[in-house]
Amino acid sequence: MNAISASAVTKPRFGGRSGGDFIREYFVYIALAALIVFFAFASPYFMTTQNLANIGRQTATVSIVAVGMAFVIINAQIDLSVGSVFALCGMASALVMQHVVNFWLLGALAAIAVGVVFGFLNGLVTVKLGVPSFLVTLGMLGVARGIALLITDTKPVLISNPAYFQIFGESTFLGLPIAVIWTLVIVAIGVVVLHKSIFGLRVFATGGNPQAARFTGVNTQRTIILSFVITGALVGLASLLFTGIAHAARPDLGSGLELDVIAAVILGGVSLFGGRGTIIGVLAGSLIIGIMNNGLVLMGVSSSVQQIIKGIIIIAAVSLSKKR
Amino acid sequence: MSTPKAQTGSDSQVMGTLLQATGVSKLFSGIYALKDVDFDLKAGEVHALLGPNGAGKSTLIKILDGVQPQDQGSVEVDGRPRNAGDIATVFQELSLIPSLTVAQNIFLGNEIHNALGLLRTKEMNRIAKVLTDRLGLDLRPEEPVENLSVASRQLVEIAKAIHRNARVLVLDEPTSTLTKADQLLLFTSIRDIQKAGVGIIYVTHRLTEVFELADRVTVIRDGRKVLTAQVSDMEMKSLVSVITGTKSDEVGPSAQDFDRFVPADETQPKTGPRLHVSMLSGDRFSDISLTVAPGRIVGIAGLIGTGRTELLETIAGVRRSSAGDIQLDGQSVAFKNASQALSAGVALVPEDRHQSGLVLQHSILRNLTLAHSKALRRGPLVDEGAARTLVRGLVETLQIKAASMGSPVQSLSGGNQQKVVFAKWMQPGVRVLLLDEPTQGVDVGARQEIYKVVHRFAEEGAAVLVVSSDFVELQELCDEIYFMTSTTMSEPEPVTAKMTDQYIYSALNERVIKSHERDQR
Repeated sequence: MNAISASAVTKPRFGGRSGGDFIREYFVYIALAALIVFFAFASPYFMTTQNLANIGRQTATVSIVAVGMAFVIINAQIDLSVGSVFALCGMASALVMQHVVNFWLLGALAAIAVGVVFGFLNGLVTVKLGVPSFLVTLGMLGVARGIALLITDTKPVLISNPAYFQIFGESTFLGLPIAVIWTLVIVAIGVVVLHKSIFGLRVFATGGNPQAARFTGVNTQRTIILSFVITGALVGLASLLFTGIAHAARPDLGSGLELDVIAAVILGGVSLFGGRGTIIGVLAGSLIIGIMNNGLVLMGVSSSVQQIIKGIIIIAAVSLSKKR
Repeated sequence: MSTPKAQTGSDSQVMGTLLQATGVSKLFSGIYALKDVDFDLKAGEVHALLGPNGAGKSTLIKILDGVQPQDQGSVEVDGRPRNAGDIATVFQELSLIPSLTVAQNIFLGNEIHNALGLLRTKEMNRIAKVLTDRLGLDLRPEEPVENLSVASRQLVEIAKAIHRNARVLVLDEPTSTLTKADQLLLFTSIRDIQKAGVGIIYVTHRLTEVFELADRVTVIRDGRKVLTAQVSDMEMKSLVSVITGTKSDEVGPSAQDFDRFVPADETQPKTGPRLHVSMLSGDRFSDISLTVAPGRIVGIAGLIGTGRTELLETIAGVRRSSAGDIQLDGQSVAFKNASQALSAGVALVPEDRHQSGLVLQHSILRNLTLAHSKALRRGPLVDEGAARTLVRGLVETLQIKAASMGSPVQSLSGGNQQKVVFAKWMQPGVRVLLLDEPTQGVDVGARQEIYKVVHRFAEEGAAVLVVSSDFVELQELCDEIYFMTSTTMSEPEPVTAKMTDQYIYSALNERVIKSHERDQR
C-alpha cells in the first residue's frame, strides 16, 4: 500500500527533461556564444583587446542596473523609471561636487542617495497605495526626467575631480577597466544576496505566490520596497560610472535605458511573472545587449535599424520566457 | 441523538483544553458571517468542523488562525491570548511557492542562517528530508514544489506546519484533491501528529472521514454553531440532517447513505455506443479502451497521476493522442483543439474551474452568454434580450443561488460556481459530457443538486464520463465504473448496492499492484 501511494505521490508532473527545456534553460548562454562568434567573423575589429575593454565599459551600466531590476522583476514588479533616475543621479553628483564640496565620495553618495529615494518612493507607492508598479514607475519616469531638466534649465554640468574619474571612470585594475571591476563586484554581491540570503529567498517567495508568502509570515511589502531601493542605489552607482568617463552630467542621459535593462533581465531568464531567475543569467543577458549595441555599430548598422533589431529581440525573448 | 454532548474527554490521547474560542462574531458589511460561536479543541484531539458552503467555516478558521480579526469574542490558546505561530493552517488554496524547493518552502519565514543572514541550505535540506520522510513522503528536498503532485504538496504543507511547532493544526478540506491511497497516508500522518499532543481542526465535506478520523464534531450553519458532539454518539444520517438543516427522512436517499440500492438501468436504449475509445495512448496513459452509451453515466476510478485528467483532455481535443482511436457515434474523430470538439458536441468540465472553467470576475450573465454566444448571435452582435432570457432560464433550472444574474461568479459559493460551469454546457447538441472531479470542494447539499444536473444531461441522451477521486461519488452517480491504471483499463463493472467505496478502493488497489508487478518484470 505504502509503496503504491509513495510512487503515486512522488511521480513528477512531467517526465524527463526534453530537448526543448534544455534549450530554453540555457538559451541565454547559447545566444551569447552565438552572438560573439557571429560578430567575431563579421568585424575584424570586434575581438581586439581595445574593443573588448570598450564592451566591458559600455555594458557596465546595463549590467549593474539589471542586477537591481532582477530583484524587482522576480518580485513580480517592474521599474520603468531607471533611465530618468539615472540622469537625475548623475546631475546630483555633478551639482554637489560643483556647488558644495568637490569631494568624490560626496558626489557618489549624492547620486546613490537620489537613487535610493526614488527607489523607496516607487516601492512605497506601489505597496501602500496598491498602484501597479508599472504605472507608478511610468509616472516617476516623467517626474525624475522633469526634475533633471529643470534644475539646470537643461544645461549639462561639468565635473572636475581627478579622484572621481579614477575611481569611477578611467583607471584599470588587474588589466581590466574599473567599470568591469565594479560590474563583477555588484554581480558577486547580487548572487550572494539573491541566491544565498534570507532576503533573496523572500524575494522569490513574494514573486512566486504573494498570498502564500504573506500567510507564511513574509513581510512582502518590505521585500518589494527593498528591491526597489536596491535598484535605485544601483542606478546611482551606474550613473557614476558614466559621468566618470564623460566628465560631465547631462539631464537627457539614460533615455531608453529601461528598455535595455528589462530586455537584459528577461533575456537572462527571469520570469516577467515573478518567482524565478538567476543573477548569472541576467549578466549574460546584459552582455548580449552590450555586445549587440557594440557589434551593430562596428558593422555600420544605423542607430534606427539598431532600435528595430533590439525591439524584435525583446519581444522574442519575452515570448520564450512565457513558455518557461 | 443530535443533542450537544458535554465535553467528556474519555479518550486516552485527549488531554486538557488547548484552544478555546468564546462568543466569536464576525460581520461582513453589516451581515453576521459568524454569530456568537463557541469552539474548543483539546490537545491530541481531531475535531471535525462541518457545515454547508457559506456557513462560515472558512471565516471561523481564519479567525482562529488570526488571518482575520474577529469583531467580538476571544480566542485563547492554553488560557492566554493566541500568539502568532500557535496555530498553523493548511488552507484549501495551497500556500506554497511553486518555484521554490520543498526545503525552501518548509523553512520560508523561519530560515536557518548564519550570522551574516546567509542561508544554511544543506542543514535545511537535511531537516526537510527528515520531516518529509516521517510523513511517508519520498522526495528530494531540492525538488521544486511545482514538480510535485497535489497530494505531496499537501503533505509538504503539513511538514511546514509541524516544523513550526504549531500547537494547533487546521486542515481545510485536505482530501478534496487526494485519492484514497494518498488519503490513507495523510490519515496516518494525522494520527502521528495527534499522538504528539497537537490538536487538529479538520474541515471537510466528506462525512465518512469524520467517522474514520475525528473525536468530536462541530457543525455550523448560517454563521451559528448548531452542534458539538462526540463522533461516537453520532450517526451518519443524523449528521447529514444537522448539516442540511432538514429532518432525517427528508434527506434524499442518496445523501451519503450506503443503504441505497442503485438499480442497473434496464431501460438502456439499445443503440450503438455514443463514445468509443480504443487503444488510446497519450500523455501519461497508454492503451486505454472504453465505451459509453447515450444516456449512461460512466465513472473512471484511478489514482491521481495515472493520466485520468489527461485521458479526458485528450478526448476533448485539448491534448493530442499518440496512438489509438476515438469514435463518436461510430465515426472516428481527431479534434485538433477544444473548440472543434465542442462544435462536435464534446464538452469538458475541467477539474480546476477557477482556471479553466470560468472568468471569476465576470458576472453569471457574461460567463453564460459567452458559452452560448452561438445561439445568441444576431449578425456580429449578441442579442442581449435573448441572452437574459436564456440565462434566467438556466439560473432557474439549475437553482443557482445568486443575488442576480449580474453578480460576479466569484461572489457565489463553490457549489453554485460549479453549477454555472454546468450551465455553460446546457445547450442542445452536447453529445458527450466529460466531468473531471465534478464536485470538488462542494458541500453535501449542493453536490446532490449537481448530480441532478448530471442526470438531466444523461436523460437528454448525452454520454457522461466522470473522473473522481471520491469513490462515494462514483458509487452514487455512475451506472458503471471502469478501473484505470496508467496502462490498463478494466472491463466496466455495473454499480450495485454492493459496490461500496471500500470495494472500489480495494478493487482499484489490486489492479495497481498487478500493473506494478507487470512493470517490474
